[in-house]
Amino acid sequence: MKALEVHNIVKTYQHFNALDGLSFSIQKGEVYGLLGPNGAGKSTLLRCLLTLIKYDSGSIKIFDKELLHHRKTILQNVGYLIEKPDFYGYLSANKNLEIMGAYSGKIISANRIAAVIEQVGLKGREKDKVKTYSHGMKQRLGLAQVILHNPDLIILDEPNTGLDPSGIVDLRNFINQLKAEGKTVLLSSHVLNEIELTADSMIILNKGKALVSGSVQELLDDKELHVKIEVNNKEDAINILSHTNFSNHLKTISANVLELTMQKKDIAGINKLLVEKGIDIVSLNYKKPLEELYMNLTKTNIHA
Amino acid sequence: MHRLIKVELFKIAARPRSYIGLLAITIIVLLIQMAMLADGKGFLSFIFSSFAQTFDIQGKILNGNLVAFIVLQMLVMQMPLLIAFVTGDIISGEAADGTLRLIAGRPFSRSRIYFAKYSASAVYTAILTIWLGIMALLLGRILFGNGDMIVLKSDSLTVIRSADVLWRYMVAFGIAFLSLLLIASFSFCISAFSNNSITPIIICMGTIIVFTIIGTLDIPFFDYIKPFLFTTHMIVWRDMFYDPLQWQDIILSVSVIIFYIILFTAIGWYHFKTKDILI
Repeated sequence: MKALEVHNIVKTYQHFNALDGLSFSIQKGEVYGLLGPNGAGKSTLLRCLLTLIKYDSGSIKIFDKELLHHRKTILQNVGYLIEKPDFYGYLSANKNLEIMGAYSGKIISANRIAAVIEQVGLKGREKDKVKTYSHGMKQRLGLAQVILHNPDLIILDEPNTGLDPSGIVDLRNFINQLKAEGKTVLLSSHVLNEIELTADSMIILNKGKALVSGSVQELLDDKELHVKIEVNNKEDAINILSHTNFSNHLKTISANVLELTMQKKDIAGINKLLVEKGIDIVSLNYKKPLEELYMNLTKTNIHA
Repeated sequence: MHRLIKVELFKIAARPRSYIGLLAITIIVLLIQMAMLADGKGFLSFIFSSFAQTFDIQGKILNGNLVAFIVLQMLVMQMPLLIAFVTGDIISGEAADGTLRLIAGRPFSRSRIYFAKYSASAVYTAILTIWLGIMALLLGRILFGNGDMIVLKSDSLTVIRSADVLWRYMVAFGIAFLSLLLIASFSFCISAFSNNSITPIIICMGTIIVFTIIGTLDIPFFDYIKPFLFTTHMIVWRDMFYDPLQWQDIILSVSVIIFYIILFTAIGWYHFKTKDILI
């Protein structure tokens, strides 16, 4: 079953197409990554999904229901955190959650509020005014209000912004827990590593259009990597590599550094070959596959 | 809907700025009353000096009813500011703080959110009006006692019997409430257009000041405009203290006030309902 289906959606601001016929879908229970450079249309898309912005044409279906026709029913089942976590600073976390509970359209008990406060690690600070919270604590409160009414679709926009390393790990665990509970998560992020680690599928947007979409594994598996190998004897290494299938993809980067274009699965074999032929490998590294894919796609399109 | 209104009232009650109006009314009214206690007789002798040769005024002129009237006259410009200070911030303040984004993507329609907030603004306006009534009239009567009320117009003098005063004040406060609700509706309407809380207050006060200046200028050209300015009708509460009562004028002004309340509320509602929430 599809949790979200976006079909040919268009949103124009004066002469600028923020969303230009965008289509994609998310299966129920998936963590779906939304990537794209600044101005790609990510925020506009998320705001359209929440009816914060009216789109010009196209359709959005959430849990098989047309959003604009079943807005109330659908949004009762959606939790979201868009951009930074803003709250009523003059109120406590508890009171903020009571307000969010009232606006969720469901009856939220005090026990439920206590449970989500504990789940996001704010227990002990729930009666303090939110204006005294750090950014990380506000982010945690933001996540608390997202799950407060137990929604099935969760939309997170840059949830790891401003989090410290332990907060990022906690967030990753939080998303994994949501996935384990069968929730569908739409995760917009600039942190490519997070998408790679948590998402099942993803889409990369630019200029309001989808550049690529699909399963993260499939998109990255056949990705050709630029592998940089630093060796002690460059000439011998070139000689050895020129007799392999990668001879056409060999480049000299600097005095002792070579670059090979290959798939991830071939790295170990090349490493082994060079070592067996007596070449000392000082270092071997490559850009993360998603980063590579992202940079190639968005760079091409930005300059297009 | 009532759940949302309760939430919005709670938000108003939890904000320190909501109490500035109550505090300001308390301080201003107390100051005026203290001043009247100290030198009220001298002040009134000066005011009524021009009538002293024509009329023989006996009895206690300085009483709670007259002091309340003086207080209300003096608060004509301040009350709208105190109202706009809170109601002008209700939508725009949430837009600026980012919390509007947090509630507008919820299942409740924009219309419901708008009218819940508007209802809370109306309740706040009513509370401020009632507090003004308590401070000006009730405290005035406690401090200065009851009695016949003498009201001075530019060219005449009206005496209202003490038995007649209370109901006139009740109607006057009712009209004052509608006038302040008009201000609340106006600032609330601008609030729906704005993403910062200062703009609605400045626009609201600027409009009142400009309209009031036009209303007081005796230039024939402005005579055509004056009937359409809402500030012209907002002071009609004073007519409740003139004799004979000009009901036709009072009803006309109240109708104009209600028309503007509906107009501003409708404009604000339509814009809020259709606007993109980008912040």
